[in-house]
Amino acid sequence: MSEDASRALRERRNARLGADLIIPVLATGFTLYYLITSSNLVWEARANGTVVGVTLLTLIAIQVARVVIQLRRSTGSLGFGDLGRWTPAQAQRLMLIATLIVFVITIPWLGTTLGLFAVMLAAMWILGVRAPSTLLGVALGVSTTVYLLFIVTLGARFPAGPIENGLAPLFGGGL
Amino acid sequence: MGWDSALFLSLFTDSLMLIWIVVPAVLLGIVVGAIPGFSAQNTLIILLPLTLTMDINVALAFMVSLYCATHLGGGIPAILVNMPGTGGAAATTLDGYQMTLKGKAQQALVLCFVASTVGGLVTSLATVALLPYLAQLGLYLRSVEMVAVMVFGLVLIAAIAADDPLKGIIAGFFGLMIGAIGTDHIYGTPRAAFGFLELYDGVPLVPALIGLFAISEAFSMMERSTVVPRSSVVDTKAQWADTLDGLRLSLKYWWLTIWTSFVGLVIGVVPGAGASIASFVAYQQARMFSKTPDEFGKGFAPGVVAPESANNGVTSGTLVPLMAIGVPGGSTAAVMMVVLQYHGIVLGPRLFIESPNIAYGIFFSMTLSYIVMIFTILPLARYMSQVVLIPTRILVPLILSLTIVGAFANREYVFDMGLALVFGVIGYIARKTNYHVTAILIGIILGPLFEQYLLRSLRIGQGDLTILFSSTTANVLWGFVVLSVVLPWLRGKQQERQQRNLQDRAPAALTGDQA
Repeated sequence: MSEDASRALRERRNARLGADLIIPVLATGFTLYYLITSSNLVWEARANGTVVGVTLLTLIAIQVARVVIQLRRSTGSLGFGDLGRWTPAQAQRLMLIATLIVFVITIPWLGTTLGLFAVMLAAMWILGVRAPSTLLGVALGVSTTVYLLFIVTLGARFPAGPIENGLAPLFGGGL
Repeated sequence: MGWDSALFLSLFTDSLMLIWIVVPAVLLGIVVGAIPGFSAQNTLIILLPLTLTMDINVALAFMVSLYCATHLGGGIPAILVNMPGTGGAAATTLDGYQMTLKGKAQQALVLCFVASTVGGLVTSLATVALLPYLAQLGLYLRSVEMVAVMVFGLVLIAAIAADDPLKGIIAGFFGLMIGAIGTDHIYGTPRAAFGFLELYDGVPLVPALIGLFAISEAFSMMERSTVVPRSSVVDTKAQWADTLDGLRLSLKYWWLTIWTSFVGLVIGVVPGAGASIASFVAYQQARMFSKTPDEFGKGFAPGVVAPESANNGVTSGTLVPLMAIGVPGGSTAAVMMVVLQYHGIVLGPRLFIESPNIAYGIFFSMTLSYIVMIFTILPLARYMSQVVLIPTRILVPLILSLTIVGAFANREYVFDMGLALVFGVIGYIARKTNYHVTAILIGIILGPLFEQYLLRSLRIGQGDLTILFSSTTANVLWGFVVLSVVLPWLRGKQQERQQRNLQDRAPAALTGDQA
């Protein structure tokens, strides 16, 4: 047997099965929501969801059965592995997600250029960049490039804020 | 339509007019391909706002040139730092890095570049010649067969590309389920839209693409400080004499370059079986037919030529099912499909009659990009090792912010930016737990099409599901679906049994020794 196959087998034996169930749980939840909310529709509207959904639930049942067998054989645990471990990278990832949520919520007011500048600055800070020249240089470079290339040159209708509206008389774009 | 020399000549001349976009795309593709984890599809996703504003022919030329160049670029870190830039270059590390350790990095790079460009050039021209006949295939596929083709494609992607076939298939069907969100085709009733008006038209592909690939990849990438550790970069001072020696070796193995590129072409046509599989198959075949198989793995030139030629042969093959029947064979083809759909292009056999400039033009652009690569890559070879040292603390914010803004470009909804983030989290979890993100995305893309063909079949069969098994072609395809599920499972079981036998034998041997 090849080395790769043995490694795969070893990994399967030490599997963190709780993490393996996250996607099936999400998929089951969504499929049930789909099937329940479309149950009173005509058959043409239900057919695809039912065929795909029932197949998906069957596949998930097989996966769950596999997990149960592995648990009974003590070849895996219900842990979440890397996903559940609190590491500096995990903390940074969650902070980045929070920053991106704020970026998405505020972009209609801040506009693309200012929003990008702020999110680049925040994201680099979260990931450990401390040199002011790098922080300001990269953030300014990216937001200016996006503004000049996409908004001014290509006329992309990205969300406009104080910068786009302020510079609109000079370069176009804005509201 | 058959072979039409006049049309093809005029299409090739037209593609020459696109050289202004091909050159930057090739240069960008080589750089991007050389950065491990920063794939062609991620770059295309970041640049979606740009490609969506371009004329469709320019956009296609840009995308295929970048795609082909990444396959070439992927060989650079494989040779210099033993880390493949793309999955397709994994087999190149076996002999490429050994050549670097022997002080023959420049020869290995030249072998890689010549094999990649010649292999890609030959197969793109061969595809143009064969495409009129391959396109006829679509005419024989009716709704029942199309349902089977789509399930077969999804299952193949799961079975071949995913580490765990069952997880891959679950990912594919999860994608199909997500693709079923939105109003139904006949009565316009919304289904599973979570109350969002923005989802009534179905899940927008651009945010799904951005989230599943770019954002989830950025979340994974931040666990490393640079894309490649600085310590693993070997200092290579290149001489022109080494370049010429590499060219001499390339000429010596010209026949190997040609036939392994066709191995790549054939494997590329199979959905899911991308460049990584093709390069290993070509490497194995080259070794099998070699007079000196023991030299492989020790820095032997054919060990670089075979995988590089094959992974560029894949580039043409992977676009064949997309153009002929509208089913993307891989993630980059899926990105191209999104752009083509945005421009209102209907893929399938009619495309070859209605828009031959697009159907064939894409392959002529590919041919042109390989010609451009020949002239641009050799002088650049010596500077390439530095691109892998970009710090992720700069790269990750760049990818995240630009792609999220890119999600807005298609429909101009802020909602789509949030949706991209949601898909990013789903994609990250899927990556971490080995649920194949490409299978999820292809499922989302095929979802509406699958529903359309399934409904058409069911209406013909008056709601009877057995209609799906009423045609011989479809039944053969269903047979393949079953085989592609059962065979990997049996192989897994066999490996598990072998491993168990080995473990049982080991203690016995130890006891014997002690006795």
